Amino acid sequence: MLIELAGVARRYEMGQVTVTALERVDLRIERGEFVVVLGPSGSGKTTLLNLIGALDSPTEGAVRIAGDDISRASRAELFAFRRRTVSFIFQTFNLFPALTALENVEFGADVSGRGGAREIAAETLDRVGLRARGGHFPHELSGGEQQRVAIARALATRNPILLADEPTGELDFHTGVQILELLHEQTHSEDTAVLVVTHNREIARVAHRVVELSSGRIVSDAPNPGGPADISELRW
Amino acid sequence: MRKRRLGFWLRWSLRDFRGRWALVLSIGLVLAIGTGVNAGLGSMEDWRVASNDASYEALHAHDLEITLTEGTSAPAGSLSRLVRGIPGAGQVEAAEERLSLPTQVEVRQPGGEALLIPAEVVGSALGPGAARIDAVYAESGRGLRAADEGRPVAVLERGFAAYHDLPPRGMLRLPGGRRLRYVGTGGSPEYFIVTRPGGGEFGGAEAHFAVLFTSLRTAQRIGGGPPAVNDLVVRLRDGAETAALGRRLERALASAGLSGSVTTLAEDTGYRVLYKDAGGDQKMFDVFAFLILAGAALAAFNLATRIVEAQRREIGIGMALGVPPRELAIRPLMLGVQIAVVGTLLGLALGLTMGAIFRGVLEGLLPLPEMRTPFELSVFARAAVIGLVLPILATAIPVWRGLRQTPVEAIRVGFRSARGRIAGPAGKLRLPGSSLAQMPLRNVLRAPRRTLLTVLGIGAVLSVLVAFFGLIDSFTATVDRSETEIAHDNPDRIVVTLDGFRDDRLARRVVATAPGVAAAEPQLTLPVGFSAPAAGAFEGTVTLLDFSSPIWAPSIVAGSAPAPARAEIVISERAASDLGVGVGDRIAIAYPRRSGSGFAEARASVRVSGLHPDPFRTFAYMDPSIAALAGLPNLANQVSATPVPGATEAEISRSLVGVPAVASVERATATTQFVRERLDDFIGVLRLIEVFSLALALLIAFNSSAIGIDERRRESATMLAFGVTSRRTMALAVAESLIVGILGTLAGLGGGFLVVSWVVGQTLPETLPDLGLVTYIAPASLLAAAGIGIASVALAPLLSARQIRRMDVPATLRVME
Repeated sequence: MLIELAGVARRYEMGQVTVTALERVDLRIERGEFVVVLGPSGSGKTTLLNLIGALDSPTEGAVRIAGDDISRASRAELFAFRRRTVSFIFQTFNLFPALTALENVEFGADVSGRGGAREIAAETLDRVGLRARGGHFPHELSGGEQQRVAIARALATRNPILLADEPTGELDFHTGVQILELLHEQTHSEDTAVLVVTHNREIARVAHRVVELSSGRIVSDAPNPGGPADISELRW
Repeated sequence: MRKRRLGFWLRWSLRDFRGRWALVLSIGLVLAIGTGVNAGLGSMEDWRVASNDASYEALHAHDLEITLTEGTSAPAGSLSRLVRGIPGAGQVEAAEERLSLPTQVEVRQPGGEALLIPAEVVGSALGPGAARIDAVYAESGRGLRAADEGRPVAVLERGFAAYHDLPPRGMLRLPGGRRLRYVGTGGSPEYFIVTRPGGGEFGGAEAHFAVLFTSLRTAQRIGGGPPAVNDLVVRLRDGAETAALGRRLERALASAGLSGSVTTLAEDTGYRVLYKDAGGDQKMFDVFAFLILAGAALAAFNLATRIVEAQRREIGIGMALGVPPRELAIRPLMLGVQIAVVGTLLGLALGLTMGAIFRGVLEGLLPLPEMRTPFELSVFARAAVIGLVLPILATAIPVWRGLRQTPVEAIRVGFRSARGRIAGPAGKLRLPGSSLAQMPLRNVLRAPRRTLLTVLGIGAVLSVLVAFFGLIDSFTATVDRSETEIAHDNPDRIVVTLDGFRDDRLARRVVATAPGVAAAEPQLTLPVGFSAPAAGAFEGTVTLLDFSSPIWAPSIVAGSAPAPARAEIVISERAASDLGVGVGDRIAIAYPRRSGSGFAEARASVRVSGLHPDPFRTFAYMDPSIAALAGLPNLANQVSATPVPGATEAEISRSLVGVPAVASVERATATTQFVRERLDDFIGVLRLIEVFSLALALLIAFNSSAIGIDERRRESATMLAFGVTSRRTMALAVAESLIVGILGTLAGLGGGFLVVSWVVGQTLPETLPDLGLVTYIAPASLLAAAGIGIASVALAPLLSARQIRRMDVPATLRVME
């Protein structure tokens, strides 16, 4: 089992008030799975993603990645875990403005300690169809291109878990589809577990599994009935 | 705009202030240091002139002075009668006779060692009705009272007492076993700066020349014989015709058959130096004041601009919502106003504090009884205008730029990438190393205008530091050069000054046979005025000595030693430059020639046979055979001597105490030693500038780094999310600051060198005309300045390390732009 959450809760102290973001969450994700987490705002989607990505620690329960309980890991171990195991794709891209597209991708390979970072970056940028745009700075790219660079940066890490937070949130339909194709392809070609957080139900149609959250609890966790839909069928 | 709307924006601005008051305070402090130090340094001349005026007035300084020719005197009362007899005597408020006597004094230092020093006894009337012109003030102990008239009581000149660490009270021995008790240390207007005869304006005689202020009757008793006077000081009523009265006094003096001179206070060397120094030093302080203000201004401008740039998105949103541009400008402009107000208020407080701080420094530097350091509103106002306008301008420019963009452009995410003719191509340069390793340099290159402003701000402040070090190095190098010349081949050489003109063979024998002396060589040193056609004149000394002497002779760097019996002279390279002459040219010298029982000024044209390298232009040398020109053949007033190995100056001094012809014994390098000590006083002022420039550099570096880290929050959060450790993220910020620090330091080193060159080449020649300063910055100083500059800027991000370590990565990354 690649990802395993057992009895996970996450509560935040906001002055005198305790806010529960997640409560008694149990979740297991295998390699090569494309999982979409759905839920309205405030349902705990992003908290779930942050816990799996070791950006946050649970108040209760255990988060085990490839058998290791990261909820008890040291700060240094968490940094190492993020370098070697997970990669992120953000809704707002978060590219480094001082680096070109190619260098942003190279960053992903560099931090995960892959040899031949430049070659990996060039190859990955080619995969997302932006080889010709490698020398451009982020501000010289469109929103869709920026997100593809962000995906390439995450892919270049070659880490087994890819976490995407509303990856199509700022994109038009056509570009969003391209992004989903890339993520989908990653689960097949690299056996990567892809976890996408979104409130867009249409995206959930292409997932292997759909997890629904409401008020911090998993209210549904089931494979897509009839299997994942073809991306070309999506409309939003 | 309606009042209600304006109130809304102002309330919002107030909330902004609550959220970033620390930053506003910090930038305000940068401006405050700039304006406060600028005001303090800019007020130095006013303070010094006001202190000079107050000191001269408090001690009732004379307007005119009659000084009889050295060695002559007049019966007591005769000079006063002379004044009363001149036309316009009604313009004279008061006149007082004095008696000044050359003597030597023996005093015991706290360690018990006896000092035998040439001295001058200055006797003035103290009794009831005395006008107390050129009164004596007491710095420690007590001053002279009316009851001290005729008593063996004196006040010792403060500079001499301080130099030798003498207590405020003690006993002095005069020739003939006479004792004089000094009851305090202090000074008098004519002796605020004690100069050596022929020593030019350099002062410094207080180390080896004691002035004893006492009553007229006591001085007359020391002088022996019938009561006599040789000096008269006159104080005139307001509106009196000083020059005309001076001329009448000169005529009256000649009619009475008396030889002497009438001078005004303005002709007094100490007076000239004090006022000229105030003006000359101000030029140097102005440079420092400008640089500190410029550094602070650039930094404040840059920092305020960056804060507003960060609000660009909000401006875009406002534009998109259709808010009128003038309303959108209110919040950013209010930031400028807040910084301006905080900066001005803090600057005002610092300006007032500067008065107190500089007062302490000036008290150590200036030999004045009265200090005046009032807050100079006009000087402060000049700097404050910059402090007020600049932050508002700094916030107005990005607002204006933001408003010129389309709302979409203004709203665009985060910190923009490299653009423009320089930033774009430079940003795309492929650099060695990984993408992470490239990031610091890329960040510097992507915003060249910002980098430039930061570099210039740090550079301006650092140039003050470099200039500070450079000035000290230049002084030290110059003094070292002089010392090398004076001590060459014979570093322990001593100079024995005789109490007058003595037979040279006798003088040599007396000194050479003293215990501890290996060899002695007589020499004759005379005060001389140097001049050349179409060049300024200056005073110095000419020493007639044997150029083949094994004890010491000046080095000749151009030309040759003077030929015997020829009117030839060796002058310093600096003197040759100032007089506009070279080897083979002729200069005019004015020198004292023996005439009857006294001396008269004589003039001669002499050929420059050679140049020596001593940076003091006052020293010149001629062959002894020319002494007949001055009517002093085969006479000497100094003996240059070599001690036996192991013998010290103090031992030789003790062995010569009591020898009738000997006035004093000092190392040949005594003058340079004194300059070194004066340098320490001068450094006091510079040290303050150093402290403030360092504080400013640190503050600029910290603010810049704090804003930089805030601007890069999302980038840092992204790195942390990808597993880059907070330590490495911090290291990248340090590396980026290091690059800026190196650039700023290079700018500072260049700027500092220019400042030192300018001060040494243009300003100091006016205040220290006798010293040919060389521009020099020691490698150690360069390294120290570079170390301070680079380290302070590079390490500044570490102060914000907590921000990175405690960063809420998910929250930072999820900020919707």
